Amino acid sequence: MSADTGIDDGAVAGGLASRVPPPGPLSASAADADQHGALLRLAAEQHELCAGAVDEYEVAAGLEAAGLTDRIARARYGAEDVFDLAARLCRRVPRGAAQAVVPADPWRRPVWRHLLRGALYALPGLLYLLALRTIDAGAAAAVLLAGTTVSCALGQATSFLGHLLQGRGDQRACGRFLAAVLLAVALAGPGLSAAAGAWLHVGGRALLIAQAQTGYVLAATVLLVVGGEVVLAVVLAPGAALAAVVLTPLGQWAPATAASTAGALTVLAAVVLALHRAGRQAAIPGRSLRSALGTAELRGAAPYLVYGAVTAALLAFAVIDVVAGVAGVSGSQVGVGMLPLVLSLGIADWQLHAFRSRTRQALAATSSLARFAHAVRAELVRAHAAYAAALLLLSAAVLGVLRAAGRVDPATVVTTTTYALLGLALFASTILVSCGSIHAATACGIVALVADTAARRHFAAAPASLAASHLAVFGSLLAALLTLAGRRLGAVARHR
Amino acid sequence: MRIALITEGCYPYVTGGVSTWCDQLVRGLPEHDFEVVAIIGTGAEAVTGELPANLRRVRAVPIWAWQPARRPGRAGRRLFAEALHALALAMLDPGAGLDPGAGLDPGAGLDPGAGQQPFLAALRELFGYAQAASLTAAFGCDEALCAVAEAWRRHGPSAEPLSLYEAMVATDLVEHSLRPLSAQVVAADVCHAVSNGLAVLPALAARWTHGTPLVITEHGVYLRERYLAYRTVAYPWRVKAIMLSLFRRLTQAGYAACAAVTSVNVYNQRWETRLGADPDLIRTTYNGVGPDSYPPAVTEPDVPTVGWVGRVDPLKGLETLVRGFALVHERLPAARLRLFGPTPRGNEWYAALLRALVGELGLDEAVTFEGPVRPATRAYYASSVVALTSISEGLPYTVIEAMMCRRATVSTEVGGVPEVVGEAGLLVPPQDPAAFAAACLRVLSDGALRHRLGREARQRALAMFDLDRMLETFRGVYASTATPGRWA
Repeated sequence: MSADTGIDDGAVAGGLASRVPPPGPLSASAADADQHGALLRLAAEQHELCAGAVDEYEVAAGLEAAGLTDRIARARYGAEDVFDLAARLCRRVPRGAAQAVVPADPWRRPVWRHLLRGALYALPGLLYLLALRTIDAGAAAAVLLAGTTVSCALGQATSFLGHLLQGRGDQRACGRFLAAVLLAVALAGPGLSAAAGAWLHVGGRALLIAQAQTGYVLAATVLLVVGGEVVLAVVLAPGAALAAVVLTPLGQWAPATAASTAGALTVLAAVVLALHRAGRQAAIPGRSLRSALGTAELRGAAPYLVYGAVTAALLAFAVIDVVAGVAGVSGSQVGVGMLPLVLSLGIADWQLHAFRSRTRQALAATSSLARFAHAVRAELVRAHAAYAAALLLLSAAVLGVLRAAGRVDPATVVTTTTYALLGLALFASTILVSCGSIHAATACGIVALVADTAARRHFAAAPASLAASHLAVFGSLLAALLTLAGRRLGAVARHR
Repeated sequence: MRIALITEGCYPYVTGGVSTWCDQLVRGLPEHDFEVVAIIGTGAEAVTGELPANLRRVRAVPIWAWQPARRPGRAGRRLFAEALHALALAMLDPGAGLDPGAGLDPGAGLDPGAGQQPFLAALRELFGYAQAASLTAAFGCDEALCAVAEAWRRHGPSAEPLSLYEAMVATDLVEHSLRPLSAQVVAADVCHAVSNGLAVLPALAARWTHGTPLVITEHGVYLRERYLAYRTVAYPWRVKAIMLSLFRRLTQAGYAACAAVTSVNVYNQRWETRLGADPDLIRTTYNGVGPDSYPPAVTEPDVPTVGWVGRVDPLKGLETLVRGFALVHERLPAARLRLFGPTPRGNEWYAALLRALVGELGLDEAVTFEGPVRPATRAYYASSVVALTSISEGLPYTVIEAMMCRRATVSTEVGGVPEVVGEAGLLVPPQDPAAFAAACLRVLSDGALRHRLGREARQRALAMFDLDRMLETFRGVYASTATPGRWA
C-alpha cells in the first residue's frame, strides 16, 4: 500500500473532519445466477457508497475494498472489470443527498465548564485580598502590581505556546516547556525578587506575595493547558474557602497565621501538581523541546506577552490610583468595585465560546460573505449585550448588598461602574484575540493605557475629574474595540 | 548520482512497510547519494532508526506546522486568487469525469488528459507565488474562499453552492496539501517520489526549476487509497468532492510528468493506466528481501498460533482478523492470535477499538498485542500460520518475509497479494471473517498441508522476491532517466 498522508490526521486533529467506522463487506449471499439480479442486489447493498460517491473511481475503490475483484465482476455481474461495474452502478443509483456530515463544533462546551473556569479565575482573588491586608501601600504595593503584570504577561505567553505545542501533537515538548517555565520561575524568581527588593527598599512580605502570585498564575496556566481544571479547583477550594471565612466577621476567630498558611499551601500544591502533570506529559515519546520551539514560535508569543502585561496594567488602574494617592477611593472600595467583574469571568468565558459557536453556525448556514458579516455583527451585539447585562446585574447586586449594610458611597459606585465598563472593553478585546487580532487588540490596549496614565498625571489633584477620565478612556477603548471587531470579524478568514 | 527520495508520512519517521522499502533502496545503492524530502504532519514526528551513511540529508516538509503569516497586499491577493481560481476550475472540470452522470462509458467519462494543462499551468503559477510569498497567508484571505466558491459554482458537481464553512474547510485543506510547493526546491539528478499525490509536488517544483526527471514508485495506488480514506474520515460531501478532485488531478499530473513509473505489482497498473500513466513507462518491480535475513524456521510454536505482523491501521482490516480468529477459537480453543507491530501515532483510536472488540468477543486470554518486534523473524517463528487481512495492499513485505521464513500464509485477495502468494498460500476475500477462519482452520489442522505450503512459499520467495533483483532494476531506472553528476 501507499504511504499514509498526514492530511487526514491533521484535519481530524484540527476539527475539520471526524472519524467514522469503516464500511462493511459485501454480503456473502451476493452470488446470483442471474447477472442482472446480482447487479440489482449489489446496487441496493452498495447504495450508500454509490449515492455518496463523487465519481465512479470512488465506487470502484469501494467495491475493491469490499472484496470485489475483476474476476468476480466478470463472473458474477457480467462486467468487464471493477471499473466497468462501478460505472454501471453509478448509472443505476442516483447521487443522493450525501451523508450529512455535521461539523464538529470545538466551541460548544457544557456551561458548567465555563462557570468552573470563571471560578478558577476568580477564587484566587480571595487569597490575594487577604494577602493585601498584610502589606502597606507605596513601594510594596508597587512590587505587587509589577508582580501581577509580569505573571499575567508570562501566563498569556505560556498559554499561547503551550496550546500551540499541544495542538500540533508535540506532547513531550509541551510538557518540557511547561515544566521549564515553572522551574525557571521557581529558580530565578527569588533572585530577581531579592534584587528588586534591595533596589526599591521593599520588605520581604511583599516580595514573597509577588512571587507566590507569579508561581500560582503560571501553575494555574499549566494546569489549564493540560486540561487540569478539576485538579486546580480541588487545589484551590480549601484555601479559597478559608479565605472567604477569614474575610467575614467570623475571621476574628481564625488563627493569625491561617490565611498566610492557606495561601502558601495552595500555591505550593498548585505548583507541585502542575510540575507533576507537565512532567508526566514530558515523558511521552516525541521530539525535543529545542526542535519543537524555534524562533518563529517564540516571536509569535511576543504579542501575547505584551497583551497580558497591558491587560493587567489596565485592570490595575484603580489600585494604581490608590498606591499613587491620587484618588478619592480606598483599597477596600477598589476591591468592591472589582468584585462584579471578577464574578462575571465565567460568564465572559461562556459568552465568548457562544459567540464563536454561533459564528461557526452562521458560516455553515450561508454562502454569502455579506450575509455572514451581517450575522457576525449581530452576534457581536448579542454577546456584548448579554455580558453587559450580566455585569450590570452583578454590579447592582454588589451595590445593593452594600447599600443594605449602609456602606455604599458615590466613589464605590463610580469605581464599580468603571470596572464594569473596562470589563466589557476587555471582553471585546478577548473576542478579537480569539479571532486572531492580537496585534490590534494590544495596540488599542496600549493606547488606552497611555491615555489613562496621562490623565492620572493631569488630574492628580482632582479625584472627580480623574474618575471621569477613567470612564472616558475605557468607554473610548470599548468603542474602538467594538468598531474594530465589527470591521474585522466580518471576514471569514478571522474564524478559521 | 544524487537522488532525492520524496516520501509522504513514512521514511524515515515510521518503520515497516514503505519505510522498510526506502531503507533497503538507500542502503542497497551505496554508489548514489540520497536526500530524503519527507512530507510529514505537524513536524512533531521524530526520525526512527539509524540512517544509512549515504543518506546525506533529511528535509522535513511538515504540512500541519504552525506558521505565522502576514496578510498579503491587495495586488498579491488578487494575483493569488486568480491562480487559485484557475486551479479550482481545472480540478472541478467535468471533462475529467467528476460527474458520474456524464460520459459513463468505461473510461470515457474519466479522460485523464482532460483539463490537465490548465491544472498544471495554475499549479505552476501557485508554485511561483509560494516561492516568493506565504501561501498560508494568501489562503487565509477571503479572496481565496471566493475563488474556490466561484469555481464550484461554475463546475461543481452539485448545483447547491458551497457554504462559507465548506469553502473555508476546503481552502484550508488545499492550503495544507500544497505546502510542499513552498519548500526549498530540490537539487538532484533524479527525483524519486515514493508515492504519487503530494509527494509529486516537490518533484514538479524541481522539474519546473531545474528540469529534474521524475520517477514514481507506487506501492499501492495513491488515489485509490485516498478514496478509501475518505470513507473513514468524514468531511462534508462538497469538501470531499473538492479534495478528491485535487488528488485526482495531482495524481494524473504525476503520471503525465514522470519519466518512469515503477509499480510493485501488476494489479496496480489497471488503476495507473486508467489515470493516464503511459503503459510503456510502467515497470513491474517486485519488493524484495534478503534471504539471509530470513532463514527458514525449523520448529513450530507449541500451541496453534495465528500470527499477524504489521502496523495497526484500518487498512489492515484487523476487525476481520479478530472476528475471524474468534471463529477459529470456537473450533480450536487452544489457538492463539498474536499481533506483532506498532501502533502509529494517530491510530490509537483504532488500537483501542480492536482491544474493545477482543474483550467483547471474550478473547482476552487468546489474543495478545505484542507491539513492535525485532528482528521480525521472531514473529514469524512464533506463528504456525501468518495471516494478512488487509483491505488494500501493494506487495506486502510481511507475506514475502513469512514465505521466506517457510511459513504457510492465509491472506486476503487484494492488490498484488495473489501475485506474491501464487499457489504457495491460501487466499480469501477481504472483510470475510468466515472465509478467513475456514482457511486458518484448514492450515492449522492439517500439518502436511501447512508444511507443503511453507516449503513452496520459501521456493517462490527465493525465485521472485530477492532484494538484489529489485536493486538492480532501480540502478537501471536511475541510469536511464538522469544525466548523472549534474548536482554531485
